[in-house]
Amino acid sequence: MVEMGSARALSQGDAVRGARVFQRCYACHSVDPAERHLQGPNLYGVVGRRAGTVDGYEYSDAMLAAGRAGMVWDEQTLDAYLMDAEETIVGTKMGPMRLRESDRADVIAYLKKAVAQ
Amino acid sequence: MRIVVAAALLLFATPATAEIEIRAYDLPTRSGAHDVAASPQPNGPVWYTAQRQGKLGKLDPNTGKVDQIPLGEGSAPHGVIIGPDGAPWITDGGQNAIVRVDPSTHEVKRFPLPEERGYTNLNTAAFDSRGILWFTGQNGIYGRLDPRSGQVTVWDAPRGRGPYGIASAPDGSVYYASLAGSHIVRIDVDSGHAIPIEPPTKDQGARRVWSDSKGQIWVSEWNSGNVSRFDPKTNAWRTWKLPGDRPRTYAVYVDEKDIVWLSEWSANAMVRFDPQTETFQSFPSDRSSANVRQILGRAGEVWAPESGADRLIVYRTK
Repeated sequence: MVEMGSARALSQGDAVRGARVFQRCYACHSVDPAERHLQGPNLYGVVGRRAGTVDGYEYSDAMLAAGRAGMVWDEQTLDAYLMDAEETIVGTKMGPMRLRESDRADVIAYLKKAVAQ
Repeated sequence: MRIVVAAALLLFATPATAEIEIRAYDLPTRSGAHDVAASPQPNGPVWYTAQRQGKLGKLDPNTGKVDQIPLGEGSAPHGVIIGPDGAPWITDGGQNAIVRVDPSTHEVKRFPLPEERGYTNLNTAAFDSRGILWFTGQNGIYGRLDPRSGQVTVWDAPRGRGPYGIASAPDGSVYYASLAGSHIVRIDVDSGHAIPIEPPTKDQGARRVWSDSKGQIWVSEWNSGNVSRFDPKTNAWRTWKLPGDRPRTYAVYVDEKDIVWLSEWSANAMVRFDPQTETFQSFPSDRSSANVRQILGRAGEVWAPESGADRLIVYRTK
């Protein structure tokens, strides 16, 4: 069972701290829309995007299925995925990623702000 | 402390290859075994990183008994290798530290990276011929630890993010692969200087490296599905595509007979490549999404952790 972050925790996410948390993602992801050659999909504009839809990225069957089923990346789905990626979407290509509640809130705030700038 | 019984005994033999005995050992559920390192002594313990649980696992292959040693708050161990001192040495991404576990007392000793470096996403380590531990960090660093003094030195990787697998060669040199950078690097172990070397296939996704007995460097190419070989004496490359539809080559290891072992994720299989005959032999896992991320062996044995199936598999070559 995946324990979700609280609404309060998510609302208190700090994008500046989130930039530091994002270093855990940096090897495979970028929020620079021009960086599209990495192992993970580009995360520019990820909040509000349907799962499995970055053009040109080769997703796992599991992620594609999640997107076809209507899954959209928002605070709640990102929170669940970053709590335990392999449990949330079984068969995901992403390696083991399990962030604590405050880090999840912060990095989600960072991802939201990255496209807002 | 759990006692688990070895399961499944399979035997493969082909006319052109050695007889291979395959044995599986169950690990605790959701351990997420990432890397494995078998002690050099025959039938000695086999160590693995339980990345999902922040622990170092120890398997007794004679009984199937497993112990898991907690490595500390926030631990997420990635790589493990056996040092010249016989101890398992770990690249712990979660703690941003190199960690040594005493093989007898299980005492845990940490060597954190300099704080000013921030999070480095530590990946893999290798010892050179002088007993210095070299390591990679996917966020774009490589470095060295002198176990005698505890001094840790970190350098920026020449082309940014990407440093992944690392291995030493018989002449004492050290090479690493850059997955995001699609190249390999030779580290000058005297100066620490890193020299990029380009494989012939563009954007190949060099993920891991291993040396054969002649010092030729074998490279698993994730994006291209190739295995390639670099000869430092001639700077020449050879490349072979793995069989199957859209292969994804994750790990590479060369055994004591210079046979090349690879993990191929699209086919969910271990692949044995004989460079003499240039033939591939595939061993599909009987579990879905086995996800073998690294391979390492000792005389007569090749060990592979199935991170997606919570098992260690040994291929015994006769």
